[in-house]
Amino acid sequence: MFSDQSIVLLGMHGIKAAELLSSGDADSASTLINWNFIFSAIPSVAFAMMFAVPRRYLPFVALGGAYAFLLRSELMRHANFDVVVASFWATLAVSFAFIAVSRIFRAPRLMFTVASVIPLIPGKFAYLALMSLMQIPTAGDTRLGYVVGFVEYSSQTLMVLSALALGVVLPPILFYRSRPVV
Amino acid sequence: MFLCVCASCANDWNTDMEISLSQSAKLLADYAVRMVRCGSETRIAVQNTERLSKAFGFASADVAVVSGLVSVCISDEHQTVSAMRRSDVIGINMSTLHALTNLVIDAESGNLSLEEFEDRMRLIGNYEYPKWLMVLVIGLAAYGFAFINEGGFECCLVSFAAGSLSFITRYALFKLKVFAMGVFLSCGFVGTLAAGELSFALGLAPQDSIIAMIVSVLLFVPGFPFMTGFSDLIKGYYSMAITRLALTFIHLSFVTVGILLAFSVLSVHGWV
Repeated sequence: MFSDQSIVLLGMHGIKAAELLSSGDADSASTLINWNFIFSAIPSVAFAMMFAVPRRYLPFVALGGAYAFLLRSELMRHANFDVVVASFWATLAVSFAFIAVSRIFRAPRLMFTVASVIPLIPGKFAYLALMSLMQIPTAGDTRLGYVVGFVEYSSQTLMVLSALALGVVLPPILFYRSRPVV
Repeated sequence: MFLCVCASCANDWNTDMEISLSQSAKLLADYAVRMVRCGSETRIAVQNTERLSKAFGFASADVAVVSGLVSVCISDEHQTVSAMRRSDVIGINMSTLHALTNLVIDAESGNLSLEEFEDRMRLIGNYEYPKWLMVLVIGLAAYGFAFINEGGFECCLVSFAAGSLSFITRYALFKLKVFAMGVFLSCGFVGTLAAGELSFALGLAPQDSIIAMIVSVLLFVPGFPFMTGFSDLIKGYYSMAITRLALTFIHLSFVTVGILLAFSVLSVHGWV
């Protein structure tokens, strides 16, 4: 059912998604971005609901998730940022915004920011790393290729996750060195 | 004078003031434990407890949170009392965290006595959204994930079904009081298997099938322990950071084992 080519395509699909988007005409690209904006909000809200974020804050989480995803896509598309760097800046921007929101509502910043970065989780890289790892014991002569694939995809996964964590954690350190946000 | 608030020593205290101080120490320790349990960063838990202590007029407060233990030591002009509580990092609930944070704000503004604080803290329960709503929302989230990962319509539908099914599994196993890591393993297994089987049945394109399998388990990422663990690491609470990051790693490992088991059932081995 699945071939080498399909996996390679899937990798491209994820890494170069923004570039593929830009290759289409402007109207369809714009429509797709709008739909992405809406659909990227849903996982954030779902994740927030899993951990019982109060109902009145869910719209902010939805907006945060949508903006984080859109910002990362735009940074990759227009600024030619790597997925790791784009993820970091998108997360940082959302995290800064939620410092203001959490002060206004006197709510812990954590419950906004963590759920908002969920659409940026590098699921595809993790999956590809896992698939490469599974193949190493039985790959024979092509084993080295799978080893390289595993190292590449797992390091990408780790770097994106680290970028997300840094993006969430850094802003409050810069703003509140001795006192919490609320 | 230094007093310890353990069960064997508690009977030795005679005066009202001593009991009050010891009860306060226990109360503050309870507060810190609840903060840690519901997913607060360690620094916030420590700072909030110290702020509470100051708001209630204690001369000084020392709060320490390490892996599995919370210690609170408060003093007035006559004596010092310490209290310890066992803590864990399971049971994350942002509603509780929000309510506990607001208690501190109220106490600082002088609207709360110690007794009122105790009553209000006891009344804070772990709110959860209705299960049927969560199953629906998780399905929709998987649909959304599939869409933003450029899956087709059928891929999104398969993701919706598989995501919902994995969450139903989660609820069913938690109801049976299965060990938490067993639950996550099973969820990874069921989500991936359902997505794979439905993809086969509907004859989805390879890319769409893979996307469906990825997104059906993506919401099981341990986002809160990872972020708070990372935050604790940067802010110097290494013990808690290691505990939380270890929990994240173990959690992810069990979901991964579930996914691998599902692959073996689907005979996916050799797709790559």
